[in-house]
Amino acid sequence: MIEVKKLSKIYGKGEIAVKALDHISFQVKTGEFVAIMGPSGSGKSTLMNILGCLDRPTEGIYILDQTDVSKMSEQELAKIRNLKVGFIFQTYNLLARLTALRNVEQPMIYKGIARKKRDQLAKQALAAVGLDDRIQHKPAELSGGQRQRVAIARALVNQPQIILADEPTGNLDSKSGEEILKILAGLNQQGITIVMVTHDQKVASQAHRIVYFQDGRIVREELTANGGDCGETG
Amino acid sequence: MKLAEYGRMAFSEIFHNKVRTILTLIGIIIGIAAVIVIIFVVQGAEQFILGEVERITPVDMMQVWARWNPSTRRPMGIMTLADLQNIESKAGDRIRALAPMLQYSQTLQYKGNEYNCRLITTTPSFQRIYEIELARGRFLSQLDYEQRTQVIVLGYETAKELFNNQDPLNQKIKIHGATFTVVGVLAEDYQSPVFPASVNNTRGFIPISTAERFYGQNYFYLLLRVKDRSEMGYMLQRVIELLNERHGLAADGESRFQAYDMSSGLEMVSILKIVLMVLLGGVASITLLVAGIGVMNIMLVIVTERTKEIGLRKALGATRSDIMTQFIIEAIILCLLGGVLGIIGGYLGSNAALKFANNFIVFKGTVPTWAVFLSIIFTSGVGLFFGIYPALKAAKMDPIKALHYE
Repeated sequence: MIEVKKLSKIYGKGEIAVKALDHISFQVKTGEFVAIMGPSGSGKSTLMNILGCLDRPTEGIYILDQTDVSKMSEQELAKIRNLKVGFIFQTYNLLARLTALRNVEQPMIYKGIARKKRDQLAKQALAAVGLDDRIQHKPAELSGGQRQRVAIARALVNQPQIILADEPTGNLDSKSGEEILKILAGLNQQGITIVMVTHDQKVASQAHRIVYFQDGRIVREELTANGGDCGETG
Repeated sequence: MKLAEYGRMAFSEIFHNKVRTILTLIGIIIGIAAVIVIIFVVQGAEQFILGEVERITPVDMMQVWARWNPSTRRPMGIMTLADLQNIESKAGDRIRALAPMLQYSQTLQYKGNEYNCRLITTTPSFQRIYEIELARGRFLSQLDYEQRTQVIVLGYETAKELFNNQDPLNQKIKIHGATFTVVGVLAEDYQSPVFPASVNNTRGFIPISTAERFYGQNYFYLLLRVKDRSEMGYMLQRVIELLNERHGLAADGESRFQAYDMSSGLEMVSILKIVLMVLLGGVASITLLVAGIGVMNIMLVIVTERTKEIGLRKALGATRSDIMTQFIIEAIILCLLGGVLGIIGGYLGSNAALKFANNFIVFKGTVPTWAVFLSIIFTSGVGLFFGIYPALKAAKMDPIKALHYE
């Protein structure tokens, strides 16, 4: 599903060059739920950006769904972000002026789906995260947990193969955080691959596998208690 | 379909920041409104002036003169009444009226009264050329012309000066000792084409044939009104041809005569209009340039403000061209809104100008449709042109940096 080989990302040149990622190699299988942990500046976010096709590696290969995306054009990457990847951010990144429904519709605009169909699909996605009664609310009228659920609905709506979650519970109280994790676990059970960055060991333990980063390298990997039912099928 | 969505987004942004939108658009609004009011006024003024010019110069009228020889200080040819007959017989079917005209300044005497009058010698047709209206009696008749009778028609004031309140009809007056019978008096303040009432009031008319008995054959000029205005060009040539037939060409190979119609006055009006429109175009361009720079400035602010949104949209799958189109459309809609408000302002201003002008003159006018269309096209053009740079800046943003912009 996801395979990175000797992936490096270097910012700057010559003396001041910073190696954010240093010859990383690892795999995520289809249907797997992987947590990435590590201190700030360890390269987690850089890896997530590359996995999400927001950035390109300086060196190495990134194979997503049997396609090498490390050499793709800007436009092709945009298409992959649109169709294959769903992002969930710590700060939700909802558009404040738009209702929950319109926020969820945004990725479908770029997919080229007609307005009526978009409405219908967005409502379904919001129902799937338990927000059918909040579709006309704007982000300011929603709680943190509800906002993150809107963001999840938005990430889901184009039926991506992979969800990239960057500290999805970082801004939430523990109860809301648990709800979000429950939703993510549910999505994972439906077959969606999830890669999640977190600082919280308890949150990470919800995944099948935890990958530890330090100084741009993977220092350790471990299977969690959930690791047994890890999706080996893909 | 995407375009409709970008349009919807733009509207929501534009209407969310109402005050900023209005402040941004003030330049465009005032510019377009001013242009529309000026176009309205120029069009209306043109119609007014053309109306005035046409009222005093019938566009179907032409004048034929002998060319002037500056060295002999004599005309190059002298038209005779035979020329008139020749023209009438060969082109009469295209002529509404044809008359010679020669003006003398003469002292008229009645008993003790004297009056210095502008005496016109002509033929009966003159009545049809200048649409002469009479207060009393009749104009010169064909019989007067043929028999060279000593009759005179007086302008209103001429009659009043000579006769005071006495009835002038059939009274005898003297010109240089010759006796003329008054057969008619012009209507008071009668306004003819070309000549104002004040001139007509002080006239007198005698048959040109009679005048030749006293003053000899003299050079006159010819007045002619065509039946069909569209034949004016042809008739200007034809009359000269017919004169050439009888007089031959001048030493320089050209005709001895020249014919003019009254369109030269109208040409001046249209030249004036073109000059005004060019000036207007210049002012409008500068205004829209300045306004456009204002719009570009605010679009740059908007792009910076919405950096995070741009990053998010890229993460959700927007391509560079998606982002670019979104912001260009926003700029165009912003400017179009300015254009529409400007057009409304222009209509209101034109209405005010109309009311103001109607205090002084009968001023008619409409805002021409082309001005409205041109305003729309121009303002969208301004939006497109000045929207490109900010939109390009948005499209080129690095999605990661944009997403983490605070």
